[in-house]
Amino acid sequence: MNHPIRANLEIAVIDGMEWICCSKCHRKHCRVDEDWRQFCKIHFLPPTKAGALMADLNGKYLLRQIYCPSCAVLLDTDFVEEDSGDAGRA
Amino acid sequence: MPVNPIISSVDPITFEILSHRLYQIAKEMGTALERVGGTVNTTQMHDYMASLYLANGDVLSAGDSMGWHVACAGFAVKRIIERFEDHGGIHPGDIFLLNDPYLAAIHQSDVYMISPIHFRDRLVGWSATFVHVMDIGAMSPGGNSPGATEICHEGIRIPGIKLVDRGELRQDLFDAFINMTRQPVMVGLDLKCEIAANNVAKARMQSLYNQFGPELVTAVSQEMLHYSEAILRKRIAEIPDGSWSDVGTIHAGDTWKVQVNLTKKDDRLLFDFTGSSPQAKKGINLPYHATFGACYEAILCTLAYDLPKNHGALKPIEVIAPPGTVVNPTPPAPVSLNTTSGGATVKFVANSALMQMLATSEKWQGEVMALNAGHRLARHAGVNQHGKYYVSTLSEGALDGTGARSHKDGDDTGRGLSCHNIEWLEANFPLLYLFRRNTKGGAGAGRYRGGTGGESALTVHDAPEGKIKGVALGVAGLRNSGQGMFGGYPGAPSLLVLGEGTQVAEMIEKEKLPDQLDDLGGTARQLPYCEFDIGKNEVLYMRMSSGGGYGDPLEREPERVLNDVGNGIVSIAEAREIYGVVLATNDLVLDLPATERERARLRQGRLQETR
Repeated sequence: MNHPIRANLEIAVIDGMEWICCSKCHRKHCRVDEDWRQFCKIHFLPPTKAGALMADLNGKYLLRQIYCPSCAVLLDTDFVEEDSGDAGRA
Repeated sequence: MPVNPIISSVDPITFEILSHRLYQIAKEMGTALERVGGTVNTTQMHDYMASLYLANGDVLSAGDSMGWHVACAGFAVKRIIERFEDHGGIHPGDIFLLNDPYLAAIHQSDVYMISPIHFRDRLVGWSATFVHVMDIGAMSPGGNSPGATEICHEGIRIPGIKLVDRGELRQDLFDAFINMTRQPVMVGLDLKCEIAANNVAKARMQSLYNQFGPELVTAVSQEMLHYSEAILRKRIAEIPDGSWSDVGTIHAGDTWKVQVNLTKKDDRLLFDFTGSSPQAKKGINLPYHATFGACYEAILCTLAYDLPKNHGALKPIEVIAPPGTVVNPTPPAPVSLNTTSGGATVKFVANSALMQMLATSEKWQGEVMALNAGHRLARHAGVNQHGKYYVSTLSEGALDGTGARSHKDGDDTGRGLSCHNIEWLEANFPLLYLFRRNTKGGAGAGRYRGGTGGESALTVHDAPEGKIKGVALGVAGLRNSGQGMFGGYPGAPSLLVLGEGTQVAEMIEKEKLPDQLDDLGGTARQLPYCEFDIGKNEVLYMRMSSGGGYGDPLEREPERVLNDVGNGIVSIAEAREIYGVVLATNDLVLDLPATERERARLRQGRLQETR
């Protein structure tokens, strides 16, 4: 059964299989048992891209943003430690 | 087996009248705490709990109280029954005191008072309260002790005493307790407001029993629990099965992790904290019952927000917290900092997992909001301008901005407890506020933005000793504050900064009010968990949490961005770079065609490779 999983992402049944899809452009990101983040566009940016008051995070964290690779809608924003495994994942 | 929500043994009108009466009794207990109490925690911050319990300790009705304490006080009632049932007895007019975090309290400063309610000499229920007493005889004034490495450093720890015996205050025990604190008079007042609130509960409950009879009151009580459980289970069952997780961190020299995995199956919820860090030798550890209570509170604020707050809402919940971790420590791990550190982090991850779950439901996704991972704050103590030693707190926490929701911006301030009145504080303590105001540029961006949050700065004034002591608390590190939801940006981190060697005294003498820390000169350092002094020419700056945003900022209505620029919440440059909103040069007018082009350009940039 189709249902949302978060803003701009939904589970859709296509040809009897469950897919995680973009709610805006309906791109099939991946199967329901896979990590949708691995199939999207990821950027790592300086913390101050989120505002001047983030300057304290410079040198320690990166702003990670995840977009739909088709329609570019922003799906997730978070800070990750610069030296963590997450920061190297694209 | 689903529970039938249909009330079978009590007519609906009687049910409504009596269930609201029980709620009002719990609320009136809170009013008694506020009116009899004397410390800022109780009278201004609402840092208290007042609730009613069944004879076996199950929650019957919570007033306007913090949900996790409601659950913990239920544990406290059960511990008192175990201790006194066969030894010392439980009699009409008794009131018990308990503050042992390894039995039921969250940390020692939270002193529970528990009172049996009898009707015609039969135990029919309990009332319970807590207030955060102003001192507990710990290493640091105020109880929260950054230097504590074991619980024995953190003050008086009572597993249960009978403080009032059949209506008579045991003055010997009362004096022994308050004399172990730095502020016996104020702590005595704290204890007496709890006795008063429990006496209010007893009188009102006995009146209720007299008016309606024990059979009907008992039947309604059972139906209230049945009702809350049945409705909550039905709501949970409507949501697709699945599991969701999150991790929160506290950085203070070492890094501690709180991890949760929430599994929803049928009409049950399992919060599993396996994977959280081993317990710390710092007081951030949260006892199991408080971890359980934090999950209960998360449910009360979301799926059960409109249900009678009672034991029925606990029943669909299971909490796994491995022993020896920051979410279920074993003695002698310290706990005194926990409510605003480990506790704040547990609440954050539990709520985050719940929000992710709600987002999968067409019916419930409108309730989703961005969450807060805690803030920094401080206590203070010293000799005041009237020559008296004091201990108190800076309750700036209510300056937190709330997270954005799926359909509206966050509130700029007002999350959590209430703020103290500045005029009151300056009249009683040797402090002078330089400012308290909304933070500019702190709100997390999004389709809906977070609340701005607030910032304050103060210095000493008219202090006989020339300085006072501060104690730095909260979620240390830079990953506190509002967290973005579904693309929304995080809010600016909450900071606790001590400005040293400033020119603030000279500026005040010249009647120049500083507007920014940078105006003051000197150096600024962020405070870890520590004690510190605030002396002449030193300034304490507190920036509370800013709310996280919800959704993609490029989807925010340009008019809202224009409004934020006009109110100083967003700069013109941020409007363009984050929101893609272009304003006509030197004028607060939207340039909609340019905005459309800018947003298209930013979207195109998102699709480029970076590395």
